[in-house]
Amino acid sequence: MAIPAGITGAAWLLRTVIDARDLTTEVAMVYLAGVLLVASRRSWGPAVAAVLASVATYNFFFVPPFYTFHVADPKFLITFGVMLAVGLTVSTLAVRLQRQADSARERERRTAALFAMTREFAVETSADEVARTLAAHARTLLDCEAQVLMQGPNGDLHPCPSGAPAVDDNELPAAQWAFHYHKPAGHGTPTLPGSSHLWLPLLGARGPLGVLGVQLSARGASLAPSQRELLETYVAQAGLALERVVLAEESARATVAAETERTRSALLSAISHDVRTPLASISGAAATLLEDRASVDESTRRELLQTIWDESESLARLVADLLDLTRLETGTLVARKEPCPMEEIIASAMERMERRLAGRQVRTDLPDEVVVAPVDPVLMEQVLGELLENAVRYSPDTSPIDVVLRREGDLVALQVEDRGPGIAPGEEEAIFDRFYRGAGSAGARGTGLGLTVCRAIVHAHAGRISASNRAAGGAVFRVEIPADAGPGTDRLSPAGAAL
Amino acid sequence: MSPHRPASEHPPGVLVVEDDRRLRATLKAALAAHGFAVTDAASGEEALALAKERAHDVVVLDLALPGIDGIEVARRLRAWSTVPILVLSARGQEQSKVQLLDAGADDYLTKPFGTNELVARLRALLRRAGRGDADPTAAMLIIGPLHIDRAERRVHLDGEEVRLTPTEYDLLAALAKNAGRTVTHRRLLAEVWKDRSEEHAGRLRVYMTYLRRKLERAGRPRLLTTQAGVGYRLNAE
Repeated sequence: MAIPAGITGAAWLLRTVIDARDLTTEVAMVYLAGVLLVASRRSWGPAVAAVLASVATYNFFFVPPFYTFHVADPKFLITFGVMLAVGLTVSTLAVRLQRQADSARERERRTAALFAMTREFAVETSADEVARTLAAHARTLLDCEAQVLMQGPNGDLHPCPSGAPAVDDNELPAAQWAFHYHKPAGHGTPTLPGSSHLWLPLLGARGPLGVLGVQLSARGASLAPSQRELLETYVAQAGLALERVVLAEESARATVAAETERTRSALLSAISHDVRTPLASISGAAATLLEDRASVDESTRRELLQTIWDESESLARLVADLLDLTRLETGTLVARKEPCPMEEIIASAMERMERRLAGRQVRTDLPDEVVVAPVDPVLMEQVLGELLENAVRYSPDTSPIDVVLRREGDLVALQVEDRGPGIAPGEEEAIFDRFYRGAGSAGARGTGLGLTVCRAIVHAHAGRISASNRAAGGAVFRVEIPADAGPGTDRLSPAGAAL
Repeated sequence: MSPHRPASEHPPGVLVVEDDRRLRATLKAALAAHGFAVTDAASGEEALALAKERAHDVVVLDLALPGIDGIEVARRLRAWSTVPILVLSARGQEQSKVQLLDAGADDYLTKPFGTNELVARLRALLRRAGRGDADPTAAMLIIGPLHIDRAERRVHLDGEEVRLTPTEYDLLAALAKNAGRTVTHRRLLAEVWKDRSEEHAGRLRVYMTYLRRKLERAGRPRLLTTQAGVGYRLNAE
C-alpha cells in the first residue's frame, strides 16, 4: 500500500504547488502512472488490491466533492473505469510475463541439473555410482533424504551405499510394490500412503532395476508439479543409466567367461602334453627296469632310474605350479601380506635354491637400509625362487647371477639378472603367458607355468613384473611392488627403534 | 648316530605314520635300506597305540591323516614322550606347519622330497636327541662357531666378539636354546617381546635382519635359516 499512498502524496503535492482546482485530469494521469507501476511489479492479487486502493483514494481526495466517496460528476466514473481497466490489464500482462520469466529460469535450472546428472551418469561404470548420484541429486532437488534400493542377485531389494540413513523396514512394502508394479507408491500416492517415503521405480528396457525413495514426510511442503516432473525425469534418466551399466557389466562377464573357456581348453591341451611326456618317460624307464634285469647294465640302470627321478620331479613341479595358479586365479590363495624385510626373502629363497645354485656365483646387491615391503613372505620367496631357477636354466653353467634390491621412491624393485642369451625381441610379455616357451628355451625343461605363477603372485601384491635384456647381454627380470606398507610398517620403525 | 646308541648295537627305530599305502611302502623300503628299523602305522590312532607299546627313536608323521590328524598326533605324543617328530607336509600348508611346531613337532619336510634329504633330517634329529637339548641352565652355549656367554650376555663368532643390542641378543639366545630346530614366529615374539599376539611379526623380521647382518658374512655357511611363513632356525651343524 506504500505505492498508492506515495501516489496520493505526489498528486496532493502537485495540486498544492500548482493550486488549480481543475487539475483532476492531470492527477488522474499521475494515478494511472502509479497504477502501472504497481501492476507491473506485483503479483496479481496485491496488484489488483493496489489498483482498487488507487481508484478509491483518487475518488476520496481529488474528485469533487472532496473527502467523500460520493461522485458528483458522472464523467469521473469513466475515469475510474479506465484506471481500473488499465491497471488490471497491465498487472495481468506483467504477472504473465513474470511467470514466463520465472518458468524459463526454472526450466533452465532444471535442464542444468538434469544435464549435470546425465553427464555424471555417462562416466559412471557401476550401478552403485549411478544410484549414489541419483540419490544426491534427488536430495538437492527436494531438500530431503533420498535413498536408492537396488535389486540384489537373489531378487530382493537392498540399499545402495548413498550416505543416507538406512531405510526403515516399514518402508519396504511400498518400495517393493513400486518395484513389482512399475508404479510410484508410498507417500502422496494411493498405494500405501502411510509410508514416509515416495517410492519411484527405476525402469530399464527389460524391467525394473531398482527404486528411488524420497522421504517426503520429513518435508513441510508437498511436491510442486515441476519438482515432481523433474524427479520423474531424474528417475527415467537413472533407469537408462542403470540399464547401460548393467548391460556393460553383463557383456564384460560374458567376455571373461568366453576368455576363461578359451584359456581352459588351451590349458587342458597343454597340460595333457606336459603330463604325458614325463609320464611316458617314467613308465618306459620303469618297464625296462622291470622287464629283464640281465640285459640292462649298471650304468643304463642308473640312467633309467635318474630319468624316473627327474621326470617325477618335473611332474611334481607342474602339479604344484598348476595348483598355485588355480588357487591364485580363483582367489582361494590370498596373499597374506605382512611387512617383511626384502633381504630376508632374498636370503630364504637363496637357501631354498641352494642345491640348484651350487657352482653359481650369486651376487646380491642390497642397499644399506633395511628395505621393508608388505608382502606374503612365502609367495614372494616363491617368485624369487622361480626367477633364480629361470636364471640358472637359461644361462651358461658358470656365469654369475645378480640379485639387486632397490628402494625407488614408493616402489621396491627386485631384479634378477643373468648372463644367458636374453629374451628374444617381442617376447618380453609373452614369456609370462601359460605354457609359453621362449625361442631360447628349446630343450630346456620347465613347466611353462613358473613365470605365469610369478606374475599372478606379483599382481596379488599390486605390483608389476617385467622382463628385458641387459645392455651387455642376458635377461633381467624385474619385480616392482609398492613399498607403501599398511599400518603394520608405519608402526615398525619407531616401535623398533624404541626397543 | 647317537653316542648312546651306536649303530652296531641296534639300528635306530623309526615309526612311520602315513596313510597312503604306496608312499608308506616306499618310505619303509628307503629307510630300511639306510639302516633304520621301521615300524609303520596307517592312521594316527594306530600310531599312538604303537608308540605306547614300544619306544621309538624317531617318528615320521604325515600331516594329513584320516581320523585324528598329524597335529593332534604330535600334540598327544608330546604329552608324555620326548621322541623327535619329523612331519611330512605339502607345499602351501605354512599355517599347519606353524601349528605342528607349536604342538611339539621338531622338524618338517615338504613333499615331494628325496630319500637322502629325509635320511639326513632324521639323522640330525637323532644326533640332537642323543646329545640332548642345550642345557637351559648352562652359562655357555656353543653352536658351531658361535659362543654365547649367557652370564655375561656376550657373543663371540670364531673367537671374535659380536656387538649385539639387548633385543638382538635375546633373539639369538632364544634361537640358540633351540639350535637346530625351527622356532615359530609366535614363540620368538612370546620369548623376546613377551608378546602373545603375532601383531608385531614385522618387528621380529627386522631384528632378524639386523642379527643376520651381524652374524653372517659372505662365503660362510649360513647360521640362520628362514622358514618363510613359519619361523627361524639357528643351524646346529
